[in-house]
Amino acid sequence: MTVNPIFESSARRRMRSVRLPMIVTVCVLAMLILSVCQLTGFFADGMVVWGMRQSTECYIWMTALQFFLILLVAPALSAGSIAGERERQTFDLLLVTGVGVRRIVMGKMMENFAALALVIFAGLPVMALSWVTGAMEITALLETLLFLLIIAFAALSVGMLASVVMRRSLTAIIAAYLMIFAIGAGTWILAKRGPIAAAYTNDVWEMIDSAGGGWAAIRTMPVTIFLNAAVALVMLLAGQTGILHRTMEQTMRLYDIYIAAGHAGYTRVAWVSIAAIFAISLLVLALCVLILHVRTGRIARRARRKD
Amino acid sequence: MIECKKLVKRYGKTLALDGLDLNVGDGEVHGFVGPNGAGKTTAIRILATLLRPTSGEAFVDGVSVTGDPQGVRRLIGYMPDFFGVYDDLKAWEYLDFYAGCMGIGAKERRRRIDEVLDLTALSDKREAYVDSLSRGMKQRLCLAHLMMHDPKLLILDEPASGMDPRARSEMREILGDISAMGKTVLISSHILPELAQMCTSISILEKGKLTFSGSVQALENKMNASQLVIRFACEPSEAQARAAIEKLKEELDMVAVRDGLTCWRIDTQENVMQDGEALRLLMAVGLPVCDFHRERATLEDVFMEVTKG
Repeated sequence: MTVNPIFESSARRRMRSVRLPMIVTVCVLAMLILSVCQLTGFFADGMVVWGMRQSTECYIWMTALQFFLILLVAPALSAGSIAGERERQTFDLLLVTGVGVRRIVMGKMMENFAALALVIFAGLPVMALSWVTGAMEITALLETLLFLLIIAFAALSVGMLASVVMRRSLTAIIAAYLMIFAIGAGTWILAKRGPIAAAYTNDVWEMIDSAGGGWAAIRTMPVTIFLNAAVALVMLLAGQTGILHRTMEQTMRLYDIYIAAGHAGYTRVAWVSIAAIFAISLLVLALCVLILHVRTGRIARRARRKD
Repeated sequence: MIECKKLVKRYGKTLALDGLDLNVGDGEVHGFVGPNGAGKTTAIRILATLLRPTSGEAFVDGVSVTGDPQGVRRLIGYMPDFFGVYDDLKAWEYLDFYAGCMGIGAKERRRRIDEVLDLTALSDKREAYVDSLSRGMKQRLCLAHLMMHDPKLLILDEPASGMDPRARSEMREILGDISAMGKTVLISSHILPELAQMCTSISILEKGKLTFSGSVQALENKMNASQLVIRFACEPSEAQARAAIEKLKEELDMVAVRDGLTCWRIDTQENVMQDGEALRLLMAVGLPVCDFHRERATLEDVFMEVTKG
């Protein structure tokens, strides 16, 4: 099996640039500073006695920070992928090689994902502090790692879509940020007020109770809530740490859904959400390939030869 | 190698190509000339499978550019008029990247990289970053990457634009070598003399239509672009001049036109015998001829004439 040349070349160029090491350094430093502040009680009002609770909270903060950094870095990494090739006037040369738009998109995606995975893995030792202190289990860390990688993949696919649609890198980056914000806000609003928002009547609660929660409870939740990465993060952390329930109740303001999620099991809801986000990301990438095929006038037609 | 049949391309209301018919034979170096906006780049992008024609057909070595673009891409190397390079790659890495995209195996790539670097006189720049190369070298590097998959046809859109005379000369030499390898080359330019030096045939495009297609010599002949210039040591007397002009008309069917006091010009086909006879006649009348030569119209003049619309 040959290595995708787009991936190979882009990765080589990325590793030569000073940008990626800087991003990694800034991200790890931010995590270190936040974890030290959290563990030393810098944010606390009164005196803090160090304990498991603090270490768990530190883990939550770290995960949230990683999540935020991914959403911040991903568009900047991927939105220039195709738009940058157009801007640099290398896209035509690439197309004429016959490499195919699918391989171009996959190569760029793989390279961006590898770069973002490097950022995530670089932060892993800081996150592992909670495991060293015994507050979190290694399985929880691995779960979170997988979650962050999938969120990175999803954010990069949105950036790739912006890159395919927009002609310039800068507008593609702005469009990617707007899309990510729109997806977050849109799925939230639709879950709360949209036409498919759940109506938790007494009958519904009775049905959930009689079914013993689980999948029955999940089926009552509005579909769009599963496409909200922030909700998936909160559910995952709630399931892992058991201390976020109150925070969820206060901040999510989706009381019925929150209670239904409790019936379903937070971790289960989180993984349904993560699976849905991953599936949508794959569809977005397929859409990128389709758009490029149409834009380059290369929707396959039956081969014809001159007589 | 290239066959275009009634190619039409519209951009909204603008007609970029208006039924273009073009034939280029195997092994030719064909110049594609026309003023800016004549439709050269549109035609070239269609041949390079980057653009679909509104109607008409184009074939490269018998393969349809619309029906089997992938097949055409295996046959061609395309250099656009403006192109970018990956500045942060070394010259060999740049070639290796494109070779990978073309599906050439790793072992074969190493061999081909050395060959094309040698062909484009860039062997000593193998390890240099693309960023450090001059514009001419970048053009040659681009040409080198086109040669990686050993294409039958090279399509070069204004390859010498923005290059200094030395770089142009180097480019001409390389194209000569490529032509000697039996490759067909299609080069576009809006500067006819530049192409005439390296092309075996020329097509002139004007407002999306072909106004001429053939050899450079045929183009000059078509324009009858030759003039007999006669200069005198001093102003000839009116009687002598009138007598000479009448004799030239009667005996040789030449019409002399006065260009100042001491110069005459005669539009006529090139004919050494007839030219000699004209000189003998002028001397016989007693005109003080001090210069007698043929002046060919420059290709620039021909180009302006053909594309005047």
